[in-house]
Amino acid sequence: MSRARSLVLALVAVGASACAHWPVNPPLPDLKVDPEHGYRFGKMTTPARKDDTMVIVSFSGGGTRAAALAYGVLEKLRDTKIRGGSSDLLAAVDVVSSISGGSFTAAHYALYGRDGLPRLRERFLDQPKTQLRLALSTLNPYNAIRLLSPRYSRIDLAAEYFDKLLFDGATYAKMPRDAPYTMINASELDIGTYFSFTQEQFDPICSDLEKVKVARAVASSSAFPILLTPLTLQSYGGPRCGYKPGEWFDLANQDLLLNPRRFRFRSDVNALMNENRRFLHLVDGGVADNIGLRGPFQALTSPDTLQMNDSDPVAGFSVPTMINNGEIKRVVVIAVNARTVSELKHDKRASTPWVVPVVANVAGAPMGNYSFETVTMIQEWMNSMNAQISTANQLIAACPDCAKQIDLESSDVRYHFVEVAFNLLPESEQAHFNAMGTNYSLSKQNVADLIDAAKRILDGSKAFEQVVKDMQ
Amino acid sequence: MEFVRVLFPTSRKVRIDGTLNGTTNKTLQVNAGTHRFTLDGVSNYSPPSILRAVTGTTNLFPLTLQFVPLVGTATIVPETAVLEAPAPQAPAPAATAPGGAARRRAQAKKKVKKAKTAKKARPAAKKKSAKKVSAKKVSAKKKSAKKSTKKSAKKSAAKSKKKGRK
Repeated sequence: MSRARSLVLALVAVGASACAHWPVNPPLPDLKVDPEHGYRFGKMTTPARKDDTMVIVSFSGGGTRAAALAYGVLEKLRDTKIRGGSSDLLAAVDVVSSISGGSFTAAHYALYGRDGLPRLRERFLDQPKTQLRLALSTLNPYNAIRLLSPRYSRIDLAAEYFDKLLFDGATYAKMPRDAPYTMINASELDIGTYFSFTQEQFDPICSDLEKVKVARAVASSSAFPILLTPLTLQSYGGPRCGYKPGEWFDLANQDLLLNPRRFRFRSDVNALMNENRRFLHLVDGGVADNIGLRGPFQALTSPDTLQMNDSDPVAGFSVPTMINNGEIKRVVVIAVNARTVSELKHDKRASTPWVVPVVANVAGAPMGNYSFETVTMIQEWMNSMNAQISTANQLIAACPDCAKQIDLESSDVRYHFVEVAFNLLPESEQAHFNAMGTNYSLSKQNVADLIDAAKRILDGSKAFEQVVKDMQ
Repeated sequence: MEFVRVLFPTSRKVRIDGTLNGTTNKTLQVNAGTHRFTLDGVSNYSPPSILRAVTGTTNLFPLTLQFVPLVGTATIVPETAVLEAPAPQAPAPAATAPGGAARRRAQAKKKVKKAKTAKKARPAAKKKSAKKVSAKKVSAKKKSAKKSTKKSAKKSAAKSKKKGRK
């Protein structure tokens, strides 16, 4: 009898596991790309469409540490009055780009707005047992059976958990179009580049983002390799739905030497459109860019976008295009970087470090270095743009007649870069934050300290002070 | 970042790689690389498009590209007739549209043809007019000769009358 029972149980388990499948992202309606359909920049009514300032905020990875630091920045922006006190800086934010832990704050803010901030703190930030509960959910017999399926894995379970915890089943169809354009970034495992959850990015794979749950975007963005499995998306093959990138796509093929970044961007899009790429496997956004600035950098420096070209009314996300069309006179980038610096640990001892810290450091060091280079690159680029403008102004001041031949009106754009990072705090405080791990189990006190630190960093930032002054 | 100025006598919307990007006679921003520049709207300008590798510019020294209006025509030039500038190997700080020169050359050829046909036509006209003039001269001479003979006859008659009285 017991044998028969166990056999039945085994059969049920096999059946249940066979039925378990990750939620398939659907194809575009009628498998036809519509340049005006879905969550895309051109369909947003972000503040930049009303004023002349483009404000981009990026939230880095780093578990709850990053989410809390990002939360503190949002609160500080909300409390910073601009335009003579008639508005605040949070209302001026046009784009939020996020990675991993920062994606919880970004997605929640996009869905629930400023009124939802206390909800985020209560349900997520101030829940030190989130990680434990997530781990325990794998032990649930129902989940354990589902996890036996090769088509259902820990990341799908995590997405379900985050959905119940924070997002209440919201899909991208529910993402407000008058909120900041939110780019939740993951990394494509094979291509090795960032992958944003926007319809512009879903067009090349002919899939409809509107029916994808926001929680799955957040889960893939924070799918830390090995701890969590990659999240799978189905690709329906770009050319099959009529998708073709703009004219830049063919021209960029000649630019390997002239502009290698442009050539690489083209190659990545081409790889994404490959009809033989039937699935995408997404891992933590931090693998490709742990600061969340690669997507915005592409938009800041190039008119090349994934938006289909033959749709004039709907433009892609390109800052130069907006500048050329006279929509923008000021660009502000606020980079929230929750990166910690490793403390003196292994170098105190002569003994060989254990394998786990070695693997962690080997994985973490390149990510940290790459983030540093990304921040430096964007900062230097913005400085060079400002330098060109000031040089031109100096020339005009010295030679008023030259002004007739120089058109500064259309290229007179001011760039501001503000960084929020622990190394901007007094040195005595940095050790406290550097000791905070990358997980979902920070104490309430640590969360409060992080929120407070974000506000104090901005208070002490001259760059931030200049932004506020300029936007009065 | 690179800077480009697209020159045209009037203000027209500019398309860079097919996307609307600002207007003519303003400094526009593009990334370094190969770009195709066209004007939005009616194709009453020349050349139909300019393909250029843009690099090495600044906002003080943008790459200058020039379109010229096709006066008195509203033709849509077929795709096969697109004149393209070859992508240069070295950075070019400024350039003018090559199609403009070609057009000027064609106009100059037309002028030369017209001048030739006019030259051919001239001798015949000259002959005709010369014949007319000579005919007129002859008739005038004849008339003046008749008049002079009449006058001389009258004079001789008058003289003979005077002699007879004496």
